[in-house]
Amino acid sequence: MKKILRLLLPAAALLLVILAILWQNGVFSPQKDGEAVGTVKLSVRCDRALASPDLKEPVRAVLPEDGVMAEAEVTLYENDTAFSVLERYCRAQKIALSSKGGTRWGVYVEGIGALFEFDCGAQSGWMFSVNGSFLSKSAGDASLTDGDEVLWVYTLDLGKDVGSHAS
Amino acid sequence: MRRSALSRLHPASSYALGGSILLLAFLTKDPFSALLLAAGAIAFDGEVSGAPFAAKRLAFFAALTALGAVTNPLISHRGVTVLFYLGASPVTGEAAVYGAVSGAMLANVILWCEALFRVLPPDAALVFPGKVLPRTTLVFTMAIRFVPRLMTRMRQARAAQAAFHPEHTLKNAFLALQTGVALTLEECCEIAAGMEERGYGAAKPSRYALYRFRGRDGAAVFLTLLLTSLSLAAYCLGAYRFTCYPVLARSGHWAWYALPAFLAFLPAAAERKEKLQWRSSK
Repeated sequence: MKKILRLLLPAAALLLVILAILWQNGVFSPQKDGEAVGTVKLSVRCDRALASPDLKEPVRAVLPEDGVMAEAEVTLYENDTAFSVLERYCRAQKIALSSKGGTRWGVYVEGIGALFEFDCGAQSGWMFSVNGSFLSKSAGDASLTDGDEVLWVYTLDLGKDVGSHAS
Repeated sequence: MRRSALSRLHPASSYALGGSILLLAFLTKDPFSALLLAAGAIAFDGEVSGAPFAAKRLAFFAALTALGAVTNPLISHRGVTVLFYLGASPVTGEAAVYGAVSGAMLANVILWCEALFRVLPPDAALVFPGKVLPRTTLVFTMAIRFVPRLMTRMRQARAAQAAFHPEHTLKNAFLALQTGVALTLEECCEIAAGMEERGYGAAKPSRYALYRFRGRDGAAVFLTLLLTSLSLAAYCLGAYRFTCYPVLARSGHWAWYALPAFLAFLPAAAERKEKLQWRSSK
C-alpha cells in the first residue's frame, strides 16, 4: 500500500502540473469564431530588425529579405481583435506565435516566427497599429471593423522608429 | 566503494579523469557530445556493476531526456517548425530538441557523478589538499561531517533523555540539540588533538604514502590532460557549437567528437582491459 502511494503521489503531482500548463495554454477553453463580417488587411513587417546590427545571423537567415513576413487579406469574424486576427493567420500558415495572455495589460506578443522581443536590443519587440495609428491598449482589446488595416511591426526603440507617438 | 581499475589508480589520475569528464558534461551543450558522454557512463556502469544496472541507468537517461523534450515545448514556443497546436499554443520541434538536450545534459552530470562516487576513494580527495593546506582541509572535512554527526548525537541524546523526560516538548528538543552540539564540537576537538599527536600537518611529514604514483598513473594523467585541453580548445573554437533557435544548426567538423568520445570511454576501456588481464592470468 505504501509503495503504491509512494508511486502515485509523484504521478498525481506531475499530472496536476501538466493539467495546469494545458489550462494556461487554453486547451480547455477553445474559442469559437463568430460569423464572418468582412475582411481586413493584415501585414507583419520586420524591416527594422533586418537593418539592426544586433540581429543574430541564424535569425536573419530565416527572415524574408524584403522584411515582409506576411501581407494578406484575411476574413474578419465577429469579436475579432488585432491579436485574434494575427493568431488565426499564424495558425493557418504554421508560423509559431509566442504570446503571453493574462498580463496586467492584456495579451502580449513576445515573438512571431523566429523573431522575438529583445532580439535587437533591450528596446526591441513587436507592436501593432490599426489604420496607421498605434493604440495604447492591448491587441486583445483592439476591436476591428470591415476594411481595417492591421500592421504588426518590429521596433528597435519602443516604437519611436516606426512612427508611434504613444510611447 | 567498489574496487575497479579507476580506484586502483593514484588519486591524482583518477580524480583528474573524473573531473575532466564532469567538466565536459557541464560545458558541452550539443546532443552529440551528450550522447557520447552518456554512452561512456553507461558502458562504465555496465563494466563495474553489470548489465542489469547499466540498463537501469540507460532508462534513467532516456526518461530525463524525454521529460525535457516534453516539458520545454509547453513553456517555450520558440522555433520555426510547428509540429502541432496545443490549445492556442504552437509546439515547435526546436523547443522539443532544446528540452531534450537540456534533459540529457542534466542526466549526464548525474550519471557521471554517481558512477565516479561509486568507484573513487573518498579519503583520496584529501591527500593533496592535506599536504598543502592541512588546517583548512581538516576544518573542511569536519564541516562536511558536522551535520550527519550532529543528527546521530542528537538522536542519541534524545533517546537517553527519554528515560526521565518522556514527553515531546519544545524544551526537551532544545535540550537534545544543545547536548548534540556540545558532543559534536567536543568530538571535533578530540579528532583535531589526535591528528596533531600523530604528526598531521607537521613541518616534516614522514615518507609514508598511502597512494603511490606509478608509471601508469603518470601516463593516465598525461593522456587525460592532453585530451581535456584539446577538447576545451576545440570547444572554445566552436567545434561543438549547436544552436536550437530559430532553426537547428551545428558547426564544426565531426572529427572533433573523437576527443570527448575517447575521454568518455576511457574509464570503461580501462575496466575492460583489467578484466581481460585477470581472466588470462588465472
